[in-house]
Parts: sequence; structure tokens; C-alpha cells
Amino acid sequence: MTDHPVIGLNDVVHQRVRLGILAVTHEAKRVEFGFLRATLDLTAGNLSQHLGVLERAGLIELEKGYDGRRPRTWVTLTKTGGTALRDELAALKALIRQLER
Amino acid sequence: MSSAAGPASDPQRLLADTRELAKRVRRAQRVTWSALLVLGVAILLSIPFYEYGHNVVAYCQARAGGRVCTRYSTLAFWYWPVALVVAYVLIGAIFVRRARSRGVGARVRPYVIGGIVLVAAATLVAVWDLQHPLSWFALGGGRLQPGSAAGARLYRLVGPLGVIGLGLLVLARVERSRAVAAFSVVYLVTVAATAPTGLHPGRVFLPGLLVPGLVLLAGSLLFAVLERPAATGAP
Repeated sequence: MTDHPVIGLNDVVHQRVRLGILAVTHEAKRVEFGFLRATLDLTAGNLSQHLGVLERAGLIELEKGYDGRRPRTWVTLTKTGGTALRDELAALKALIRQLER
Repeated sequence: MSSAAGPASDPQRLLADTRELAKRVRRAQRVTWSALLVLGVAILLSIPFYEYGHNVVAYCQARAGGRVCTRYSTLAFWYWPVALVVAYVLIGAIFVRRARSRGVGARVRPYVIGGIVLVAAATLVAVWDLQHPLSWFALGGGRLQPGSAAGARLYRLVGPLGVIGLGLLVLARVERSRAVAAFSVVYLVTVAATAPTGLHPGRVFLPGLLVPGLVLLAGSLLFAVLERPAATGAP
């Protein structure tokens, strides 16, 4: 029996906001917290929660620093995060193909 | 996030949202207009070096029926590698500064490194060509006649102006922008079409610099307008 594509979906990554965070960080080398918040249209608290989940799963790295006097948080996609994003997108495409059959 | 309008379980919507987000990030990263502006100015600034540079005749070689020498402006010759390396470093600095202000990293390194490598390669070709007058035309197996339009156009594409266009194709690849790729092709065609022909081109260098320089400045204006919505949409 062939595995159904939903088996390939990752619970951590599949959540739409977290998938969005991974997609944005995949396109840019580093993304600032404020850019993510504005792009994904989230509150700071909501975004922080999702970033925490992704960081604990080792999919992103958070780096706190200053730009002049302003505190900044930069988000970087890890190698594991890149692989997880690719796998998730492949699983989604496979699922669509399955549904359209 | 636009997916707020639809259920998270809809795979097609998730994929579409992911692609849309990727496009928005790419738009926020683009600063094509500044690269075109810097390179256009670099071309226009070269004109006084051709106009007032000291011309020397050197590297003479005996050929059937006489001697063949290279006549060139030393100032204009060395202007290009210096000006283009400075231009690429400046473009890199503008991209990084802009990326920091927008809060999104820029993938500019391949363009800057690619541009500098192309400049180094073009300089080596130019040095070789200086020391071997008319050898460039011999590479065509006799099909390229000295002073011919075809030879001059091909030569332009491996010179500093051509290298700028090839660098723009690298930028188009980095930014995944068809508009930049199309503009690069238009620019390269302009560079080839305005190549000075003949063995003693004299002051015909002027349109060959003025037109490509103005094309880049016009492109800079065009991309500044095209990239404006992304600039206002960024935080």
C-alpha cells in the first residue's frame, strides 16, 4: 500500500502562519521581526508564539541585537527548516495531485 | 496573511499563499533601480577619460605589408576596472543598507561577486587584446574583418559595457525578475548596436557610451517607479 500524502505533512510546519514564516525566511537571508509581523499581518504576541514553536523544533534561529539604539530580533531559517519547508511543499503538491485524480 | 480568508486545511490555498508571500519578499528585496543608476553614471563618467585621456600607440607588430599597432587611451583603459569594482561595491552597500532598513535580508552577494569576476575577466581580455593587435579578429577564423561591424559588436560584448549587461543578467537570476532579464537583453542589444566601427573610430566613441549610459538611467527611472509599491508596502 502506498503512503497517503497527508502522512508527509509535518504538524509543526503545516500550520498556516508557521508555513508563512518559513516561506518568508526562505526567500530572505535574514528577516526582522517587524517585517514578519507586517507581512503576515500578526500581533507581536501571536508571532512570538509561533516563532517559539519553530525555534524549539530547530527550524529557525532567533538573534537579538540592536540597530543603533533600537532593539531588533532577526529570524534565520536553519538547514533543517529549509528541508522541512521543501518536504511540506512537496507533500502539499502530492496531496493536491491526489485530490485532483 | 491572506490565507486568513480560507481554511488552513485547503492545500491549494496554502500553496498559493506561500507563493504570494515569496513574491512579496522578493519585491521588498529589490533595489534594481539603484544598480542601474550607479552603472549608468559610471558609463557617463567614462566619457571625459576618452575625450581627454592621453592616447598612446604601443605593442606594434610586423605584419604582411607593414606594422600593426594598438592605439588606446591609458586613462580610459584603466578607468573601467577601477570604476566598475567601485560601482559593484557601492551597489552591494546600497542593497545591504536598504535591506537593513526594510528588515529583510538581500541576496546581493552573487551579483556583486559575479560582477567583479566578470570585470576581472574583461580586463584580462582587454590586456591580451592590447598586446596582440587585431588578434581578436583572427579568432573568427577570417570571418571577422578588422574594423567590421560584426567584429566590433562582438568585441563590445566582452568589454566593460557588455560585462555590465552580463552582470545584470546575474541580477535578474538572483532577483528572479523577468523584467530585469528583459531589460538586460535590451541593454546588451543597445551596447552591440552602438559599437564604434572602423579601424580609426576617432570621436565616434561618444554615442557608444552616451546611449548605453542613458538607457541605464532610463531603466533606473522605470524600475524606481515599478519598485515603488513594494517600498511603500514594507514596514
